[in-house]
Amino acid sequence: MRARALLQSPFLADPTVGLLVSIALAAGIAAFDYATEYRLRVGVLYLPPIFLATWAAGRTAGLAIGGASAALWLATLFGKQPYLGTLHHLWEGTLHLVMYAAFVFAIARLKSALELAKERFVSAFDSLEAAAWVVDPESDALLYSNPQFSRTFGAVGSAGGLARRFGAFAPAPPEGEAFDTESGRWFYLLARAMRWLDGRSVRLYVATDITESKRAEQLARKQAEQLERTARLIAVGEMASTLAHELNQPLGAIANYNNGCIRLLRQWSGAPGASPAEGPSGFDPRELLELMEKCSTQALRAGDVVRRIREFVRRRPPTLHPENPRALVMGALGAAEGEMVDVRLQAVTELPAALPDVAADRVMVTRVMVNLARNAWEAMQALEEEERRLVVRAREHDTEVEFEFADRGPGVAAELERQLFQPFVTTKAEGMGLGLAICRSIVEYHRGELWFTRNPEGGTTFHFTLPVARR
Amino acid sequence: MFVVDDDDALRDSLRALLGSAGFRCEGYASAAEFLAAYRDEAGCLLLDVRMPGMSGLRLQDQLAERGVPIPIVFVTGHGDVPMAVEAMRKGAFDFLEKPYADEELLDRVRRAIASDASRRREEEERRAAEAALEALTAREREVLDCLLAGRTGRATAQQLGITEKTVEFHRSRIMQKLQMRTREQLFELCRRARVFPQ
Repeated sequence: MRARALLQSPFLADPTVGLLVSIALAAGIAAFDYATEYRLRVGVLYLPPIFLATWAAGRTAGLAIGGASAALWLATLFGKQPYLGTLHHLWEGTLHLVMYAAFVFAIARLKSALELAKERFVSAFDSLEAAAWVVDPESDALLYSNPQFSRTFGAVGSAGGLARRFGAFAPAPPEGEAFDTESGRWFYLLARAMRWLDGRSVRLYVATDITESKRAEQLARKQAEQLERTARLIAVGEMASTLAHELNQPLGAIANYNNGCIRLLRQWSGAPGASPAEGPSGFDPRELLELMEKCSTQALRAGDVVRRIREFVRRRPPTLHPENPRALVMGALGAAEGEMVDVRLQAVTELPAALPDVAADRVMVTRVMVNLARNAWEAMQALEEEERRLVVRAREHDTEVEFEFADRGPGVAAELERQLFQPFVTTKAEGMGLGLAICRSIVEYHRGELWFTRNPEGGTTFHFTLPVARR
Repeated sequence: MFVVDDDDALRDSLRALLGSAGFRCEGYASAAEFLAAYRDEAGCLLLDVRMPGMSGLRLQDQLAERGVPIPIVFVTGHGDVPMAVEAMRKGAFDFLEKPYADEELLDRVRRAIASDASRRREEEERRAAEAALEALTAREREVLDCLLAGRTGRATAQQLGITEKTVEFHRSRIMQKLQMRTREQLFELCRRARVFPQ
């Protein structure tokens, strides 16, 4: 710990201070040598000041201090033991000089290696678009942070303060998705233990802003939910409206028969209001008339009840926007493929390049197309795989665009033809028989029409029209 | 009159109701059946908007394409109002929303049949007037045109390069051929025959 603190102290960081301190140290050692009359061979004592000078002020300064140290050492030696002989002095002086120089080179090399490592680290993280920072877990100090860090989090004093923003009590926030309470953004946090430049173990954090993708994800989920809800609403509405329609037909027939009877009775008993003749068996036809009129009133009332139910579950009106027909078809085919597991839909599209936009509710129309594509595909299950082919065409009539979904299946059975669009009619084992009924409802909502034809070469083509969007 | 509805009971009940009110009624279960059977008879068409196969709106288009002018009264369920609006836009005579009171239905049918009858009468008159005008010679037509344009005898004579007397002669021939006594009657005939001054 102390050594590390010393390495970061101003002696080592500031070249001038370092140089001055090293000169003072070298002078002190020379004085010590002189005072002790060179009883000890303390040439190594000069190594600390040389190290200091090299580390703080570079190789040249180190070499200078080294040379001076060698000279000082030689001077003290010469001053105390001049009788050793010139050769011996020269030998000792050269030996120390070489030793000091080697030491300087080694230290300078070590320092530049460390600096290079730091530089590499810093340049790697400075250009990172994610916020990155290094924390000393023991002291809670921020050792390093890249420029993106301050752009993202602003001025942050300590690692602990940052961790609290992520809702963590410990100085180390957990890995994974984390929400920054201050900026209101989502981040993906990555933590790695690593060895810092000076050798201590630290933690490196990288925080990637995932707010956008998180938002996109939420949006996609919301849209999927809405599609699901819309589909369900349409289904519920269709069931109610079907029930209402199915009840309305017999109710209407009852009312018509009844009104017909009333008319005949009136004719038989003379003009309305006129005094009728007595009936054949002595009963008054007016009584019968009265009862039948009540019957009619009740039939109408039942019809009204049905109508109110329908109004209550009134289906969502489509929100029409100009939509590109090609985009609609492509989107729907993709969605259909997504809904069918393990199926590669072989669809051939014949879409003219310049089709006008149609006024459509994209969600609803996609529902229709997905349904038709699925039906077509399911109709071709008996065929060899390479023969299954769905052809989707679109063409423009002056105010409408007609879409066609043609399959090569066995075609619609003759006995089914009349009730194909009837709700609760199905050929599928698990199916409510609402698909085509819903499709037709949706298309009719758009003021278009849905019908089918038999292909001359076999199979069925479903057609529907959508109005061209007004400009 | 004609009823096209895929629901057998409803069709039959309509026939009963309309029959009780004195209409002769023919029912068809599909648009195709009606198209195959219909031969420009007088009356009106009571048509269900929603039917399997060819829908009411398609039938309307087909009839329009073939130039069949029969008035159509659409019957719609509650949810089909936009379609009814579409049908009206394409020239349907009227529409009825279920459930309806019988008087409403009969009233609309009566009006539709009346409209068909008056259209047929007009058509008849037009044909008769056209046929009558066919009897005129080319010169007489020229004189008639000038007459319709309100030119005087003299102006007519000048334009056609004949004498005023000859113009007067042609005029009386025209009146005689068309069995018209007054100018107003002549003009009325020309209006019916869609002959207008150039």
